[in-house]
Amino acid sequence: MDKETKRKLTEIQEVLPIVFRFMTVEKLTEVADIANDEQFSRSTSINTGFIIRTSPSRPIFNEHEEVSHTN
Amino acid sequence: MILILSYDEWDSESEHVSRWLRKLNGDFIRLNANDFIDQSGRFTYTFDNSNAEFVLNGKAINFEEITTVWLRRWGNPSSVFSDQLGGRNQNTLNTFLDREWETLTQYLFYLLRDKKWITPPAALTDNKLISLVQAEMSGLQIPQFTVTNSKDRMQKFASKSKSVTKVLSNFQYVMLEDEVASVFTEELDTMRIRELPEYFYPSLIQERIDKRYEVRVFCLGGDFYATAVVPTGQNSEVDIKKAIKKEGISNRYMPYRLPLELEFQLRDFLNHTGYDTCSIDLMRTTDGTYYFIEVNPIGKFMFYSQCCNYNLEKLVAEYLLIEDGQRNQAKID
Repeated sequence: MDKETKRKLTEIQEVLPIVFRFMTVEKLTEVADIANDEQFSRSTSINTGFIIRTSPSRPIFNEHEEVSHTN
Repeated sequence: MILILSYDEWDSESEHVSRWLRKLNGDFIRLNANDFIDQSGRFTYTFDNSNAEFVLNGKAINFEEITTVWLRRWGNPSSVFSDQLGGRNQNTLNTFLDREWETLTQYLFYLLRDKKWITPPAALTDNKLISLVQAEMSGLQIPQFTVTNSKDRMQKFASKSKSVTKVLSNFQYVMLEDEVASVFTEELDTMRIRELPEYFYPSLIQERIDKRYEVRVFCLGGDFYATAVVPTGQNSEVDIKKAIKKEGISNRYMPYRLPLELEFQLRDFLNHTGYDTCSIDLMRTTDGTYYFIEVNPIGKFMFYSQCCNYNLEKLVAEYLLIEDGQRNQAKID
């Protein structure tokens, strides 16, 4: 971000709700990756085909089960 | 016939539900807000004082044929014109186009007022603060909150409990040249409050819940499809969305069974809001208390559908067909 953009952004942050003072700024490439994902595609209704799911359902998480904090 | 009202960007849910409706030979049409300003001739319409009609790819559809409306997403697409205008009159033109679109939308919804609505038009203006109060009236535990423009008031609130701040409504992002600026729920400690000016734009401060994990619930016709979002590793982010892209921290997503009493309270809440379908965010604390955080009547559900293998897009398609009278429960099963 160049200095002028940063100055403008700071000015805007100061007149918006306070949560805007803690904005997260990320490189645009990360957003582009998401945009290319099928989940976020610009969908229009005229497509064919549908997803067939064959994998079994996972077990239901038991609220009394001890939660593991690792993968 | 089912009418799906949607948007052509950022809504893969409509697309996936539409695919299942086609597979199940459902009688439906999907129209995106953008279609209403289309000038290619593919889609035209007339809204008279007493009648209305769509013409889609040469086929006329009278409003009398429509029996059910699923208001999935909606918004003003007119900015595609105003963005091109620029200059000092852009604000005036934007305001004008907003009003034109609002008037058109209100009349469209008025013409469809006697149809069965899956997600009522009021959902488009859902108010998070009112929803919190309504949830509390249904017996759900909610985080304490206040909206203020005063640093002094904010300090007093924060002295009673750990706090967070977030937007009152919804905010997506600001596009910069090669970066994007986003807003998440943020922790608001005494240090951060001290640095604020005495008075500022109205802001929400809310009690921070010491969560053990979050639960995202997709609600459909009185049934609940819940996903536990369990932080792993050194994940201490207040907002789970921030954990998605950070190295070394992540969330585990698992199907989750809600306690019956909580389901009862959620159903009571949904009866008051009138939402057939919506997404609800909950948090569960280390002492086992569930907190209602917010409801999103048009929330995205595909991510949780795939994580937990719930197949929600198929369930929504089946629900629409049943509500529209095109199928009965026995035949679907």
